[in-house]
Amino acid sequence: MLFLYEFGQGKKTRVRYEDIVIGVFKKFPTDFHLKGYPEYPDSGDLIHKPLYDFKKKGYVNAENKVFSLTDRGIEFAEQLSKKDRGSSVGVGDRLSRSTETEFARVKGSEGFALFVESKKESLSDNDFYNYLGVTVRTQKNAFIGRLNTMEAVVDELKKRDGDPLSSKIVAYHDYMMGRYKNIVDFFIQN
Amino acid sequence: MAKKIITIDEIPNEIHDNALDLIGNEFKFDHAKGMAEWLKNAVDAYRRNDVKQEDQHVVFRFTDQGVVHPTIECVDFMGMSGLDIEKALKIWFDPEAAKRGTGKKVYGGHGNGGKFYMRQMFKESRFITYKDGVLNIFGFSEGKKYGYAKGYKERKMKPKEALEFAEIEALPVPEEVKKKILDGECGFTVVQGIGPEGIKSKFRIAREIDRFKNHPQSRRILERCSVSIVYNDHSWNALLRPDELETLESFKEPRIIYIPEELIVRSSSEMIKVSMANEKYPAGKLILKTSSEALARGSKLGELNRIDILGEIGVLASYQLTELGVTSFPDAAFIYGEFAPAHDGEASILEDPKNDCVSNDRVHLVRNDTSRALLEWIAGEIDKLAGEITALKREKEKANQKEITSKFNDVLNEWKNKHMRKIMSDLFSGGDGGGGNGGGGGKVGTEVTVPPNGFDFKYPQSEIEVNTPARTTLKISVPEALPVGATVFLKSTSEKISIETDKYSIKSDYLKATPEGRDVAFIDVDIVGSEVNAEATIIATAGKLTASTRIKVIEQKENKSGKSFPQVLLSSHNQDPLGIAPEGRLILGERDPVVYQRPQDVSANIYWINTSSPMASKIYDKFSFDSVQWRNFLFERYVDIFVKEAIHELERKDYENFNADAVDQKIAEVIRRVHQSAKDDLDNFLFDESYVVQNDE
Repeated sequence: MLFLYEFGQGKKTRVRYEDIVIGVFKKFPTDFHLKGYPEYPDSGDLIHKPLYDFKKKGYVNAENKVFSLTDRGIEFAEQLSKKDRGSSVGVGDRLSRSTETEFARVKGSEGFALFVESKKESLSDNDFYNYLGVTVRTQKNAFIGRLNTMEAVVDELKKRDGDPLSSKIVAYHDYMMGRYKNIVDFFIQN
Repeated sequence: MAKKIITIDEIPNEIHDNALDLIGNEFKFDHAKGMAEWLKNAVDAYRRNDVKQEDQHVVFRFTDQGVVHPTIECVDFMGMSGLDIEKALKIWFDPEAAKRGTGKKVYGGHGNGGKFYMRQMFKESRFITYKDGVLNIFGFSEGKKYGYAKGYKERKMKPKEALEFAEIEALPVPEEVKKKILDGECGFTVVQGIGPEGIKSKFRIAREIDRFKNHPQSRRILERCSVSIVYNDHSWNALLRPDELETLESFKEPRIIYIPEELIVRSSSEMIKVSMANEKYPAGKLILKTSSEALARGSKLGELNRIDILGEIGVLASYQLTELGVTSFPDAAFIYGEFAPAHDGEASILEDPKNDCVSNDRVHLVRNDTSRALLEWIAGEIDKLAGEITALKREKEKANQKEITSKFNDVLNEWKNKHMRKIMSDLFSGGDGGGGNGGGGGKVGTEVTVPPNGFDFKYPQSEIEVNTPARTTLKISVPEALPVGATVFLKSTSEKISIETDKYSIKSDYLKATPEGRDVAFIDVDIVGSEVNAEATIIATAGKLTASTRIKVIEQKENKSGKSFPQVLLSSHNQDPLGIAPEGRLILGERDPVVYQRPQDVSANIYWINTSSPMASKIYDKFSFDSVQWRNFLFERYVDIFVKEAIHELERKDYENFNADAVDQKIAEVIRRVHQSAKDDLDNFLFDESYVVQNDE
């Protein structure tokens, strides 16, 4: 995560798997060398597995062995970087940047407007996909990643007691997750 | 001035005969209407004498051969006495005339219709009537004056002689009727009209009878009485019955609606309440029926597209639906019916003497608030029923349209299957060098070999999937067999396996080198098979060189992720192949995407076009599903699907460079190629208004 963050200079730069393998080996040679061959980088599960775990957590986008950080991933890497430097990683009362982004996106969505206007019957599965920021063709791990991202957003919003808009988004989340549980199950199981 | 008592000494009115012309002209007779008046009079004669319906025989006789003037006669078998003539026939406008003091319910109203018909519509006319051994002839002269025929007032005559005199002894009536006359138990009346207006020498008998049997004033009587038609002494119709109408399939039962006790109608500038029922006159009922055949104006049954207003007995008035202000045509043309008192034999409120709505000629009601309120209400109820007919027809139309649009979609699916692989492979192969046809056969990483004899197909035989573009590769040693620039001709031995291009020129782009450094040209020949199990030989020739390959068409294979091509279906129209949708059909709403997929559809490679989307609905409402606009809408959705597939493929293949510019560029490229392919293949489909899907398409 730190490598992707530093390599991309805090942006969502796309990085090839090979570059990551070489990059982390150069930065942390003792941790990422091929077992028994300290002079060679490990290009196997040692690198591969955590990257795909990060994808499920919503930190990383991946396609065809090309990776990039998500907003949430950038934020997480930022915190890691600060921790690495011994700085405090607390975020205080303010929403994190990634949550702010998701907050703004959901707030402006047509589905949320319908929900606020109590026109729940007009909501469709497409509103659910829009809410999560996925499409019906999103791959399983990316879907799970987005799901985790939105749950993290909602967790953060829940802490903002007294903000009616945050409460509405939390309620919208709960409603959509309940109503479209079958879609969530389908993505997770397939 | 001193008050004087003055009393008028009343005398009978003296009215000039001109008054009869004035009123008679108002009847606006035609022969169907006049014959209906005669029929009512004949039936009334039976009713006054309590003759059972099944014994009420009436004969209409038309004669236009062997006579100076054509003649129409109406014969009943009751007869009138001289007194009847004096008390009823001679007196005009007597409302009790038809009853003759019996107090019985009769069809005749003011006792004028039949007489006016005689007076207005014939050169001469008369009653030849026989009863109790006495024969009377009373009628109208050419000068339209009435009176007895000279020598035929109260003339005693034997029954047989009377029958012969009236020339009715051979009429087709039951023998017992004739026997009764001969036994003096009853008489007869022949109403005779000579020289009917509008008929020069020949009757158009079929037309006249058709109109007569469906006329409002005769239709119901004909349903019950025995009326026969004789034409030139031959029986033309032994038992005349009105036409029976077959009902509309979904509206078989008559619709009965009771009129509200009070209706509101505009009178001058204000709305007023009009009472339509009271204790004496219970609320009447509107009975609406449907006909499977449109009762269109000018058609044979056009006159039945009406509402008859029934009274205590007979029809008080009749309105064509067009006269009622009905707005729901053309479907209102399938409706007819009647407005009747609540129970048979009851009088209608329209006959209330305090507010009599019945006119002299019984064509229309007298115009007043009551009749206006009634007619407006009837029109409203007809519009309601017609609206339901329209809605049902629209549903059926939609079902038909579904079939049509599904066929259109099949055409597009077939077109897509034919071109998608090539377009997508052209888009993502990174350039195939030979304009899409050359060079593909020598894949990177496989060793290039020289073909036997320097000119041969890569494989001697192969299988291709039906309706799926495929390639077979021809290899040529260059320049040993042919030089660059040489032309190769190709043909197929079967129409079921077609070649896209039948002529190729060898280009340097097609060349690959063997490990030994010899050049081999690879020409990919695009082929398509249209029928499973079809076989063909593809023959390549160039001068003396010949090569061939055997091709067989097989079923489309399904890859592990579903069908090899997306299957495009129409929401609300096509069955859900996955069986997930309730009742087997996927119903989408206007907020759902125009091109839609469920998660399960992705792996099954299914796309749905949302036929409920706002634009789809608009096109259907404005142009219908068989329009060129709808076909273009469908085509655009296919373009959307091509674009979607291309974008996902782009992300999958080149995520590193996947950005707005790359997407923009790819969309432009996809659309250009799809349009290029469609402009020729779908020419008629997209541009021809009259395009229809052929059965073999």
